[in-house]
Amino acid sequence: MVRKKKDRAASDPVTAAAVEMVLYITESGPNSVRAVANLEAICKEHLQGNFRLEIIDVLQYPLRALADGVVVTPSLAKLSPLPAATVVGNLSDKSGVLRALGIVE
Amino acid sequence: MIQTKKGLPQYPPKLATGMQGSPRTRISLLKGGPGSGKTVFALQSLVSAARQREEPGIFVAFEERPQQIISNATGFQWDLAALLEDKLFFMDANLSPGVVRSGEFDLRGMLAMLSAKKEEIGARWIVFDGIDVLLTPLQNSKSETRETYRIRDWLAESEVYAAIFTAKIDGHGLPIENYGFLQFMVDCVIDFESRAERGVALHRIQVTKYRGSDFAKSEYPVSFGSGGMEIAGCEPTEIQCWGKQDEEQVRIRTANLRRRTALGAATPRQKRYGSNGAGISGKQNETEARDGS
Repeated sequence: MVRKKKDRAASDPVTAAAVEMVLYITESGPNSVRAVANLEAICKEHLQGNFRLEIIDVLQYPLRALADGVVVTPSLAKLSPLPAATVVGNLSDKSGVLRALGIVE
Repeated sequence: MIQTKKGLPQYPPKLATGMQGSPRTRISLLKGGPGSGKTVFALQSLVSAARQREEPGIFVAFEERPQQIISNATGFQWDLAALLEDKLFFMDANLSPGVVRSGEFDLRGMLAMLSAKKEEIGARWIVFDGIDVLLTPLQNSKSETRETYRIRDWLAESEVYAAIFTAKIDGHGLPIENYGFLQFMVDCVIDFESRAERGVALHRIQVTKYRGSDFAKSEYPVSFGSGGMEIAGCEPTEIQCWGKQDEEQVRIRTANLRRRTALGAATPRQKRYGSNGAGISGKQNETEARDGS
């Protein structure tokens, strides 16, 4: 399953470039379910729609995930803006996620 | 490395007397301190399986980067480059220090990736090198246990002949209690030790568990030659203790007598004539050598 979200807020010219992320999950895993929920909450609260998120189910696209360097799931890759960053886990520690995404509270 | 039909690497003479057992995956645990030779032993097992038995393998590297492991092995005449084409796959499973940890994770995704790769290359052997490095970040022994059993369950359904775990456990210090269950689920445990005596590094291995058969419990000194790790002390009388005396065993015995090593990895001759992926045996090599000259 690949879900794509493009919730760009066109009305806000002040915001920096959209944050581009890929979240690797295993659809049935409890950690993955929590990661999706946690990330959606963080995006809603801190990114105001200015992001692109691709969610990849490793069970369906294992070789793609392997090529992307995924080790454990869930795993979040921030591709841009640079520097790139990786967060592993169910994203329950919000401050770590914000730091990796370059969001200052 | 010498293997039986069941696919588990056989260890030095008298360490074990053959592999009678179920068709399920045989699991080995190699434990010891840093630099004690676990990784070489594990990789050598894959090299031998690929060369001598045409059985591809996957090496999951949790601690060192694959490039580092490959470069460390260039001193051995294994011709890894040829194997890397289709018989040996390294998965870089390092969680780099820059990775942010946020909450619990699991190995569902990793095992799905390994399944896909296993199908792709027909892998029958798998090494999890540095399993302690992966398990420690899980941060509690309950998660460690759960994920270790996840690997075990995956192995049970995977049609892999042999799995080898390596872990930095020295048996004296800690986290041995965390790995008690790991020792419990494996069929074979080998302790690796390296110590300096008068400025010389001495390596030894000792089998401490071998399910389903008798084994020699003494320590064996090991050294490193062009073919990889070599185990001393292979006396002809001991070699008689191999379980089966079929043709393969006899050949292995001969090889042992000649090379005085129980880990029959690629010899220089195999390296020179064996990189075409053909089945390797002493006889075939000699034939090829004649044909090629």
